[in-house]
Amino acid sequence: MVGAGTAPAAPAVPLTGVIRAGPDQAELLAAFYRQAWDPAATADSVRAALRAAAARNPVRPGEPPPAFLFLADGRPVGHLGTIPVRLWTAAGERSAHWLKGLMVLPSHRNGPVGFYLVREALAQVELALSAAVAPEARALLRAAGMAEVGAIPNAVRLLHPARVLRAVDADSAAALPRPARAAAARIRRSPLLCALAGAAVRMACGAWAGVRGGTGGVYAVVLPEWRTGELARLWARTRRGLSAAPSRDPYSLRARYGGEGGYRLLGVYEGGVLAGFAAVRPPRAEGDPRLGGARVATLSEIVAPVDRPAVLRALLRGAETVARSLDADALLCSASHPRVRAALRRRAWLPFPGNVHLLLREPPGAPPLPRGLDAWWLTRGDSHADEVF
Amino acid sequence: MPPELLVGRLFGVEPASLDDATSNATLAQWTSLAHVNLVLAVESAYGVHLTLADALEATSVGALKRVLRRRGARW
Repeated sequence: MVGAGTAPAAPAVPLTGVIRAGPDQAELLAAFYRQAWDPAATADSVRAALRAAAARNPVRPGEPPPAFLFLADGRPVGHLGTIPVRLWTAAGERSAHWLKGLMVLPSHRNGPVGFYLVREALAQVELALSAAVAPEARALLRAAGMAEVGAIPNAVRLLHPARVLRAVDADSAAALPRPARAAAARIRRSPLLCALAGAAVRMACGAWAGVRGGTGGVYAVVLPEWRTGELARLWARTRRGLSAAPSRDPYSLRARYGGEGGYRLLGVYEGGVLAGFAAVRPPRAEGDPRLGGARVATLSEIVAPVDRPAVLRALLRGAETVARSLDADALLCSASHPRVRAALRRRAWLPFPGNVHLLLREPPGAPPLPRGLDAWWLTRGDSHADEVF
Repeated sequence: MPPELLVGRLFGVEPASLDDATSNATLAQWTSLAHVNLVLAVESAYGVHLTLADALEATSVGALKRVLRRRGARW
């Protein structure tokens, strides 16, 4: 054995493998972010982001959420992040992590990088959740040990049907049944038909929502500020009726909707008590490229006791009003719970198949979580899923 | 077993259509998950253990052969 300091240091061997990346690896994280997402990322900006994430970490307060890098000869070529959450279950609250931000540089795709990142993350977090869209990503997550729960159903409320009809291209309409696709193609070619069809759809939706989706005099208002105490009491009442849900305590809600994104916040009051909460994400300035540039807002969050359907409908009606004020052509929502889906139908939201799939991996020996999606209270805002559908 | 045969069977393509240049960039079936399955199949078929660096390197038929030779496998 050679004593320390007596021999020349061995040359550092560039590492190939997965590392857990924290503030000490800020340079590596910044190098990856620059290539994958943000050309302006620096070690300092990464450290600042990690400090902010640590401050709002509900699982291990003060610690940065686990993040992982795959290094190839010392260079970062893949990344997987996590979002720590408290998970409400019928048996009480548990800690969980959403797996988020799986990215492999183009030079290393279709190789082992993604699989090993997921496998390492699953080894280091106990209860893991993931919301995935692409079949390949889902297959990878399943192979690494996650179980698929199901696809969160989508629904859309057409606010300006004529504009949506004009914007939707043939690819976007591919999911429609063949007769509807053919009719949509004919309508799209004629501005007059577009306007007429749009007016007809708008009237039909309005009539349906008026007859079936009334709120019994309950109204939503835009919340001018964060009301922590009221939101805490609302979540305490809401969760009593739920089997499984990421926590909607005021701190989680504020971390999710209180910063970037420009979310509009809605509340419903009954007898002076906050009875429901919703968050609406405005449409992107440039429109949604997947829908031919149509301006699509998102109902990202909805919190209300399941035994108060009128409150749920009032939140939906308020969200529709807010989305119209934001000049949205359509309002989108992905929601798993049957009570929310029922309220959506009654407000004339059109259902379409889900494409965001929930996957989970439970630690051995823990009380099992529900394996039916109907038992979960999930909306599009969970896991920052606004960007995918 | 020639690596081309293993790759062909695993990815459902005619082995004769494969050569050393066939890679995860040229074969649509060679996805991330398929690559992991390939590594497992290779280890089982040739009785070798591939390191993470090997798995990262073996992204073409030619590279797979190179890794296998380095690990002492014969076919």
